[in-house]
Amino acid sequence: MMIFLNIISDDVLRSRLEELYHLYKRDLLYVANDILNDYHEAEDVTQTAFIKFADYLDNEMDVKCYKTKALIVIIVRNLSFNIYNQRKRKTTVNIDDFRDVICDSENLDPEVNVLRLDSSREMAKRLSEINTRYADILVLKYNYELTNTEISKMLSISEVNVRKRLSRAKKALKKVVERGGDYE
Amino acid sequence: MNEKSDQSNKDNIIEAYYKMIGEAHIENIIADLDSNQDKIKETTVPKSLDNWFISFEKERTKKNNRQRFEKNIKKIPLKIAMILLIVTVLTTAVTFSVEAFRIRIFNFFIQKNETHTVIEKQNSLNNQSVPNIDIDEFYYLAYLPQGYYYEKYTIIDGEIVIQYSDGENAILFSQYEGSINYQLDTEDANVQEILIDGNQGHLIKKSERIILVWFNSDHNFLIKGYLPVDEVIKMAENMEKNK
Repeated sequence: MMIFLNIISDDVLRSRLEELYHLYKRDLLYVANDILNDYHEAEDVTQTAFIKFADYLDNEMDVKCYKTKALIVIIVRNLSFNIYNQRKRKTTVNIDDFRDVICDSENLDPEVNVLRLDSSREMAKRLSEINTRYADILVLKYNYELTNTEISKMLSISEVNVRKRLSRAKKALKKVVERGGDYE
Repeated sequence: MNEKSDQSNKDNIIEAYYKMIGEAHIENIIADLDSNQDKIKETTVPKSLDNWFISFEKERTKKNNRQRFEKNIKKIPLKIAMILLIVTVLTTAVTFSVEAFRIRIFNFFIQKNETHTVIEKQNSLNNQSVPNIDIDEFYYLAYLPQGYYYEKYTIIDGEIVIQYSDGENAILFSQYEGSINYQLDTEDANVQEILIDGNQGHLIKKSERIILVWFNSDHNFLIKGYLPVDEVIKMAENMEKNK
């Protein structure tokens, strides 16, 4: 009976992965190619993203949900940035340059946060414009509720890098919020 | 305490804010993709990517099947142990709770013991009562007093004398086919006539020694020994013929 259920479960996961592939392969190729401007590398990144996502896929995941689509796009985008950085040997947007203008406290004032929730989409957009990967890592941590280990495996970066990136993302967000979306 | 509570509340609000920013970021990603749908549709998916996915799926299925098989293999000894345990418990419960089973199983052991007892008794009879004599037909004493056993026999001029003993005293049982004259010492003895299985005989008691003489249609018999009278008569009445 258990073997039968396992087979069914495996078949369900396989069909989900197939569905995921056929639904999003063009989107992922486009996203990767948009960053790398190299079709072969974009194909490699797309493959890697599916391999990583296959481990994360479970029976409860809705393949057509926009959250699932966003997650695999985030994976592809970050993997593409990794390759891009290796290739160009430089960071995409060096948020570290802004460290000197970031306040001492890492936490935001809750009252300020509540007041500015209505403008969160704009804040997120600004954060993404400053450094897309900072916004991505916040999403993986707080929306997909992944651990640092899971994030490091998914994005092919070390756990130390995950912690650093999270910390910098929070500081960058704080700066964006303090300036009301006007980061410049 | 209040400071901790305040900090916890603050952390919760900040986390909620991060989530809100995250939700907005996801919406932005989807919106960005939607705005580029025309370009995405124009994107050509290379055949090599489709081929890779098919082989990846096959490999993944194989790997999962192998892992599932190994997992099941590891569970087999545990399953066997569980089955054996269940069978043992059920058998024990049935044996000791259902009367019919219990009687059958206990009877099996009892029957064994009874058979053993019977066999042992037969052996005792052969050793003690039925002498191993190289003659086709002869009489022997089927009943012997407690402690007596067959010791030896002698044949003198056609008279068969079988000797039984208890280690100290002896019983002589003599038989002779045809007529024979016994020369018996009856001085100061008590002699009385007696019937053994309807056949005439004489019981001679002198001190503690008893001699019983009787005859049937073709044989003369004699029993001699230091025994109670009733025991001697009982031996005579339980005489059997070997065939």
